[in-house]
Amino acid sequence: MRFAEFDDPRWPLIAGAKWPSRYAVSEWGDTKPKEKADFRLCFCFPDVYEVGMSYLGFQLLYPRTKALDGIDAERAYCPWIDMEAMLRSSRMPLGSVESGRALKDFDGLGFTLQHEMSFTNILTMLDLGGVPLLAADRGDADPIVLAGGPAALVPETLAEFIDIFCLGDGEVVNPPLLELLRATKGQPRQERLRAAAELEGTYVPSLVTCDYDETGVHFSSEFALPRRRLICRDMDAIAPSSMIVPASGIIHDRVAVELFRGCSRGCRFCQAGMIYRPVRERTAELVEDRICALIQQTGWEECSLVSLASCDYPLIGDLLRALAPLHSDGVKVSLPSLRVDNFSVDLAAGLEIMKKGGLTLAPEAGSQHLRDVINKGVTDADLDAALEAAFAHGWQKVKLYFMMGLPGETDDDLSGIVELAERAASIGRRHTKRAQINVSVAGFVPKGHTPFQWVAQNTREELARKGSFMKKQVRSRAISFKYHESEQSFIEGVLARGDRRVGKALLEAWHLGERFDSWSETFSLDRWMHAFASTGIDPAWYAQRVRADDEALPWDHIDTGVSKAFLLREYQRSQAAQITRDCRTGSCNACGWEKRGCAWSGGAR
Amino acid sequence: MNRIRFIFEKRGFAPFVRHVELPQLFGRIARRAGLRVGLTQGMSPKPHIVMGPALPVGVVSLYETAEVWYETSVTPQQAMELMNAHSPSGFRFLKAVHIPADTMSLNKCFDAAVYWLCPRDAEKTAGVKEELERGLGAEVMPDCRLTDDGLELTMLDPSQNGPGALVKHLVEAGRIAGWPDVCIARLSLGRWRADRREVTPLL
Repeated sequence: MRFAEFDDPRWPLIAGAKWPSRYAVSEWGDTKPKEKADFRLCFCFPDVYEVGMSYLGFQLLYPRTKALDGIDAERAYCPWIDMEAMLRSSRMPLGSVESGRALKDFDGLGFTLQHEMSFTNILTMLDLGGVPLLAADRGDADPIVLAGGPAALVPETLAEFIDIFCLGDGEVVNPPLLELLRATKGQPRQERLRAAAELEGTYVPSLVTCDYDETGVHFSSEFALPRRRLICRDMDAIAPSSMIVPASGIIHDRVAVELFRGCSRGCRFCQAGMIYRPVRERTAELVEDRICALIQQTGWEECSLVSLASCDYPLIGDLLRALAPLHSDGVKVSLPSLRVDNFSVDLAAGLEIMKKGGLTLAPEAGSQHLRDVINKGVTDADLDAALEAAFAHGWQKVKLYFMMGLPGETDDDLSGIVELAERAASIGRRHTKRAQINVSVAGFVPKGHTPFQWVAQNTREELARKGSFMKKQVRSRAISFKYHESEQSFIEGVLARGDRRVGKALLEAWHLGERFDSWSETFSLDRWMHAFASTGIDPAWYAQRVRADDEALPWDHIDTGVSKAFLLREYQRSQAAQITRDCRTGSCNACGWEKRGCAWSGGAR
Repeated sequence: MNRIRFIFEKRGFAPFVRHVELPQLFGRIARRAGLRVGLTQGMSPKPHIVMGPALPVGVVSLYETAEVWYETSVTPQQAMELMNAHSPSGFRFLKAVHIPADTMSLNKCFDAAVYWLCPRDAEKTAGVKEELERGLGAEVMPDCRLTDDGLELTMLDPSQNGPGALVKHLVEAGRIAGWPDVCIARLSLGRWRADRREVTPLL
């Protein structure tokens, strides 16, 4: 052809795809593959490109991996179902965005497990990439399949598919592991896995056996158990200096800089708040410096200050004031996680540089009693003050986020959600006739490594009843009330607390055609139920059963640093609706990190 | 303001970046290059960047046009070099000229575009030519020639009649099934000279 790009065998497929820019990638940044590398890793994100490129983790790990001697990194994303069908019909393998190299031709694949509903996509990527789905079926020539991220800390559902789980911060877990895999390239696969199992921060499921009895799951191995999660203590040392910028728009199309990792608020439902402990802050000077540098390097016109609770950053006000001059260059700053108080709302509105997008507040529960049960630490007064501040600053729409199906929840608590929304609308009307309250209620999914890991998830029928119960009570036309469908939450609940046996149902669901479970347009409960039935798995046993306090859980062999004793103590306190104060403002709560060098365990930094 | 008009190409996978995303992309390229772009007036100011006629996704181009209003004092050549040094793969600025502020808007500068078209099944080329000539007529497509590797054709009013119209017509006529069956590139944009039966490029 006159134009060489038309000779690329991918071109006709991309031209026929629903969303071509997911596959035909044009980017700014250092993405050129090294000509020579002893170990080629492909970071694999089990969702489409525009979602995967919005994930900060790969932006952090990709350049650090490319900087390692003899090691190179590329990226791959899960093709949407139309492209999957085209790849299969044209017998083309899934490859990386940088070189198109097929996944089977890499030395290692590194999946991130951000949530359970992406699990079927991992199987799609392996299969399309020419890699055997089951770890046991892989030979010496196949890539080593790695997986990290939050769901790697509750790994058993995926144990049959992953060679090595990476536990903790990739910045510290990956370099020695990748160096080991580089140095042992060419050796028998089993020997390499055994060597990897000797490293801290790894979990090689094929070298750990599990037995089941009425008391739970019991793990045994010649390697040390439990497997300990590793953390990076010096956040300044791992601050990014570059990011990749897609030419096409993505979901989070902006610079993102972490203020700190971890959260000590202790919300009992929140897995991230438990598994990313302890809190490790960056210095404000470094954050400011990196934001300015990244704005220049990327050209992005917006910067997001990301953390689990960004407003808890002690120097947040000073930092925002220091960033204010960027506004003259058209740059905006956003805070993605606003605390429910007037301080945070004032902060979000107070400076010209702050992006005035939609305002979302998350009271999580509708009554003070239930907020105490979940240790949310938000009072009605906090909420009223936040709403008052929001409307006073000119916001006309406020989104309120709640959960239903929380432990100990009653219909009065649910009515409290509606009452709270009505009160918010009333506060809004005092400021503007256009006040709009958008209420979103999601079904609660209990997760491992949290104080609610023992509780039963509500049934689909119960969640449907609760949603309908609340919606019927809404009177104000200023309130838009939506509750999530419970079918996806149910499957998420099964996968989130599954053991190795659930992996068989996962495989079967994938064979039946299950893809992109977090997308309602592709999710099918029927397929999942069929898969559970044909593999003899009772999903309700995993999701809707109260576990005994002393049950041996399928994630007990993973040590996040937060002790099971602390989680149980918090669970018991929740049953008495007792709150536990944030250890950064109160005394140490002995979560487990006090024995491992938590900066706040002495009551002060 | 320093108004600079660019000719740029979209090669490689860049043709799959949507036309509507280009002003934001160019604003980001300019920021990376250390060039300050003026903002538009109004409620939500945006970088003052104007693009030429839209090009559908999947069409290669050797001749796209844009104008950027820089606050930075920079020569067209410097601007082009800096923009090229900070562009993502597939985008390359080929020409740049300074334009007086009161010059007519970019999109009034064209009335024709030249395209190269080749069906994936090269044996269909002659039939495609015949179909386009019959279906579109000289009012829309005043020129269409067979070349060694496909067709070169001129379309009038590029804002209204572009590759989308070509593909739509060929699909309706049953000549191709859709975009995957045809390769199209824009070769030039400018004024149609009926006397010479050619397009005079903008720059």
